[in-house]
Amino acid sequence: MEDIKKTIAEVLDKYIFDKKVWENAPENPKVIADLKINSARIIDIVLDLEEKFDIEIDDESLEKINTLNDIVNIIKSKQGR
Amino acid sequence: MPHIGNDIIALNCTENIRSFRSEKFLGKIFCKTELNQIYSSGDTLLAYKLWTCKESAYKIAIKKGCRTAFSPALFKVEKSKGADADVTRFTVTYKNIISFSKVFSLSEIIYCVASDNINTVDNIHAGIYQTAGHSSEAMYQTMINEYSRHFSVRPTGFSIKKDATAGIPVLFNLKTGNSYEVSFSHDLNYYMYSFLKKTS
Repeated sequence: MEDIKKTIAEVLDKYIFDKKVWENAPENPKVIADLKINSARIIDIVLDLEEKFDIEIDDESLEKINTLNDIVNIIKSKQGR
Repeated sequence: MPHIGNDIIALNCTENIRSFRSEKFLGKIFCKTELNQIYSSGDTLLAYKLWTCKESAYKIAIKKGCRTAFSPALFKVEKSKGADADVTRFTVTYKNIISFSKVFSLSEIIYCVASDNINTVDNIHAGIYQTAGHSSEAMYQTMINEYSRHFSVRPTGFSIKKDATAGIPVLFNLKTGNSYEVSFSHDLNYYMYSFLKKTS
């Protein structure tokens, strides 16, 4: 797993109540449906990611967060990569 | 056909308490006008109430074809005029979608029912239960049973499927494939379901 994805997965994991969801999750899990993270915790995750990567995730970007790869893409675009 | 949404939030949930005390968190989910209302209002639960309105309105937006993820600050909540005992009414605007909400406060929870039709919002049945370790399937079955009882139909004729974007459950008839207007929400020890009441 590439570093950025690993870091995001670690942040997500902080907010996952039942760690077993990782076992059945697809390669690109849906944050709500597969990882069982609720909307309020997604905001906590976004705040953590903003701090970790020193970026700002705006409201329009938040609308694009469905999967782990969506988060990777948003962070990369905010970093100008 | 009017669409409905609902949301429930547990006030005793540690994560909720921490998040809703955080200015950063509130700044991420509310616009400036909403923040001003929250900080100037004497209602210490207003932030929770506005949040449940936004979540309920998102469920309606999904049913109306929205395919984006939930971005709460884009849902603008305004308190509606008029007051009922123990109920606060709000109007939520998201893009071209307007929904009308009723928010109820109990000692351990706040919950909201909403509709995109102002005449429907007073005709929504809400059932609230403690999860008591029940699986999602068991909680959905409670909703199916209550729906069946209300409409005097057999519960075995119904099932739940989830929409692909936000995992929002939809009740449908196994025989006809028709779907019915319900909403479901779960937080910590509580869950709630809503559906449109039978009209005479």
